[in-house]
Amino acid sequence: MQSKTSLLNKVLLKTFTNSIFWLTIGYLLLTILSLPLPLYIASVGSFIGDGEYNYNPLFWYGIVHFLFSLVYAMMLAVNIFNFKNKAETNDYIHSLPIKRTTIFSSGIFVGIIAIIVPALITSVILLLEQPVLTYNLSVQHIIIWVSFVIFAQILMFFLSVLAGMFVNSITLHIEMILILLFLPFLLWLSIVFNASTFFDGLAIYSRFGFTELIKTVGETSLMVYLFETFTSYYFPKGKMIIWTVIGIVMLILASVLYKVRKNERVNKPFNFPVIYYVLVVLLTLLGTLFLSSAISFILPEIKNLSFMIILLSAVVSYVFVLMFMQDTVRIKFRMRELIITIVSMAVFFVGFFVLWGRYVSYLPDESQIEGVYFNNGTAINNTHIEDLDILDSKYMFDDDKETIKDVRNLHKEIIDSNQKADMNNSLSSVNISYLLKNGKVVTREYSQIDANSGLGKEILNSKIPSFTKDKDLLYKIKEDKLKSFQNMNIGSYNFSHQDISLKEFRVFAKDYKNKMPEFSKKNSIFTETGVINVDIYSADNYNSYSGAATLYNPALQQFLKNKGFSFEDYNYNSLVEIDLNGVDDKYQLFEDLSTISYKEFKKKYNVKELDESEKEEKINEFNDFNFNPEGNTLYIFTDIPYSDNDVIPYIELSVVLD
Amino acid sequence: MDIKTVKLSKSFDREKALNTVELFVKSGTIHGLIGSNGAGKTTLLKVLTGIYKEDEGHVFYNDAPVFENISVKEKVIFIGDTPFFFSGFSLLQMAKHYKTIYKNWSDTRFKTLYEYFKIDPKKSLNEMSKGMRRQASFILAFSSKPDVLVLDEPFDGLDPIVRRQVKNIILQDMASYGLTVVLSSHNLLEMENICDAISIMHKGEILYTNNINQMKHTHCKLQVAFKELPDESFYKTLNVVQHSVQGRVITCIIEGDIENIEEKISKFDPLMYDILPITLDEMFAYEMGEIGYAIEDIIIE
Repeated sequence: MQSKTSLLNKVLLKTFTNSIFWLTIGYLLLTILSLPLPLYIASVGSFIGDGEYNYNPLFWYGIVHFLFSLVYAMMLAVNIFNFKNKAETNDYIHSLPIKRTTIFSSGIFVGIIAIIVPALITSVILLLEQPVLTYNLSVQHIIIWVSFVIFAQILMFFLSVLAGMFVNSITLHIEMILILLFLPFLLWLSIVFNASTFFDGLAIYSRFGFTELIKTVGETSLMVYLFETFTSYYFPKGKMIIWTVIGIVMLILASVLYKVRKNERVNKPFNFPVIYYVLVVLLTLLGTLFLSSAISFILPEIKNLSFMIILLSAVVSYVFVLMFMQDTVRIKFRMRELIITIVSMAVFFVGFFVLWGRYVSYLPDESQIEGVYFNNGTAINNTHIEDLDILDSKYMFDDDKETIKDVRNLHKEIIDSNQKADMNNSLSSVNISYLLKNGKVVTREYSQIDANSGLGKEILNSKIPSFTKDKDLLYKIKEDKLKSFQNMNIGSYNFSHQDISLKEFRVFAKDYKNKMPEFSKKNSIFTETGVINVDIYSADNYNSYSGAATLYNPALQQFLKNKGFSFEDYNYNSLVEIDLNGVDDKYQLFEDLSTISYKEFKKKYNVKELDESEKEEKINEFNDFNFNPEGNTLYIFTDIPYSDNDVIPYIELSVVLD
Repeated sequence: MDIKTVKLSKSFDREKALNTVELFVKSGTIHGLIGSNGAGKTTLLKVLTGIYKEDEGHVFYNDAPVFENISVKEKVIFIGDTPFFFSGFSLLQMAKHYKTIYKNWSDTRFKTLYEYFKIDPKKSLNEMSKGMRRQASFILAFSSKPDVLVLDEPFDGLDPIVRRQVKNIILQDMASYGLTVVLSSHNLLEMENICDAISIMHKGEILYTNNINQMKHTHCKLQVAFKELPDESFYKTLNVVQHSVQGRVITCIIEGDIENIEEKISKFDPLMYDILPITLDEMFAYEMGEIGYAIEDIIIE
């Protein structure tokens, strides 16, 4: 005879286990196909880069299996607790002398066992597979992997159980899980993209700016946390504790909701009407924002009809949302629901316009600014602010007070002008970032500034240099913090870990720093020429770091020479020679290069277009890397013959020689 | 176990399914619930068995509440209008389950019953016919020897022989250990034959509750023929609560003192008369008719 106070009931354990038995078997088979097998395949190839990190093949190759495992955890919850979605089963189980707590905990117990057992079986298979793998798969690797996967699955399971407590159908249960997982993230993304339609200033196309914009929802998203942790193979204790606590809270909340659940609502889609109203509003909002963004993107000509687009999107979204939420195509329109939705949407859009208006017109106080980054979109090699974890904190940020003032003033003018030029007349994206004294970074990006307006010209003619030591990736990288190395691109050349090991890279980076020539930001030869793109890819966490370096650095010159770098790859470009003798204002020359047409430029300066044989000769000279910033001749690889001379030339690379 | 409800109310959203229901079921009796469709019978049964929680009022089993109360629920078994069994379970497997939760479970009884009803204990219950599944649910219930059986449309799907067998077992258990039964059905003749007391429900309220014998002592049906139809005093004198007239024949239901009816009738000089016991069917029709829920002749085009 079962104890009255027992948390588990034998028959329910058996019933729930029956309901997920074949699902578990299927998952186990899928696991074997998606993990031990790829590990074996990887062991016969050599896909791994060089590094001193503790690389774990199970995390390297296990991303697909990880996704399967989360879906499996979700399906466990859906199947085990499906009994409450059917009136017959629901009534029968609740007529039994079994407390709701026991019913609930029996379901949870079965779910957790169904998570742990396949994980342990897989671990045993991996242990048996160890000897046939050509790389190291240690017991510690397996323990870390199985612990994290179980942790992730249990979190997903608890979330899925909680989702099920709001609804009374299997399809709605799955929808609720997806809503809890993705709605906040998707809603925020839609808000951000929609805001960028109405307001200029959101840095959604700048990786750093975008990361900042989605940071808050990213950090509160279970999926983002799990996948980021899995792919980075980095387990910050603080976050793990927080998510463990959240998991426990979800479980407790699910248990409370189950306890207060009214069985008579089994034939209604939602257990709590207020949830239904909230979701109708949020999903309608999501649909409205998504649809209106899509329409504005596909048909930019009708952007001015934004409010009509929003209204139309809202109506369409509302209908589809009702279909999902009422779990039927024969939807019922209820006045109360309609009024709640309309009022909520109206309040939202008022807040939307007010708050985003404030966001794009925010200008930090000068006293708060540590450094600034400014890119008027015409820099020879556009550099972007990327990850700061292995870079100097002031990478990309100029801390010169005058520069800070200039950038800030320019920014203020942009805000005050509130321009809305279309794509054909606008400048390339103007990117402004502030590194504040509190460590925060504020980024704004403007793409609707009229190129022909006074402001547009002022931006193009700004004296803020596009390249400085602060924007030199190789100069600012903390090479000792780079834990792994996969490959590096310099210009169009790729250097793999077989060309340069992590150790060699560190030596090279140190040498680069030591040999960095002194140059002032006002020396436009350094800031406007000799800049070459650099991309570094790490092996362990799929990170990449993109930026630029200077060809005037002897360490880089030596490195490229030793590695057989050739400028022949720039052969498809035209090579133009410009005599710098007699050019008093070199700054003006570079400004003209980016602001006036090639035709006008040729009239103003002593320009020679090299023919093929001259070009070949010059390239051989370049391959000696005898660049000299004090030299008299500027060489530019450009696309002139392939474009109209009346346009501003695109500059692939430029350098000065004697 | 005595079952008592005190001002029991239950709503589904804004619709009141039960409205201040007061019911008393004496231990060791069979109490029937009859009513119009949507009267709230099933809702009441589900509240009585702790499936639904009451919104207002109380349900007591010997002064103990039932909702989430294991010590009461392990003495109560509910058989709904559609018998339910766990997917793929056989009678034997269900029996194992019942054994763990009902302390009075009897293996001997179980074996006797499934042999008696000729149900294969190893066959999956969901593969059986509706009638056999209902028999299986009774086997499990009787084998558990509960103090209270709550049945919703219990005889639906059972053939007449099996019905009689089930009723006999119920009566036996009532006699032997005081089984209390609450059941609902639309088969009024059957209810009249088996129940000790009945309650008539309509729109969430109990209109009428009485012991069957009591009902037959306080009501009767009279058919009387006259040469000339009497005036209103006839109806008043006999305390007629409902009547119909066809020609010179009056059919009526009389409530109250039915002992001296003959004496009262003879004062009105009838040609002939017949006094009949009232059936539950007639009682139901009368009570429903009082509140406007009656069968009326309709003309269908």
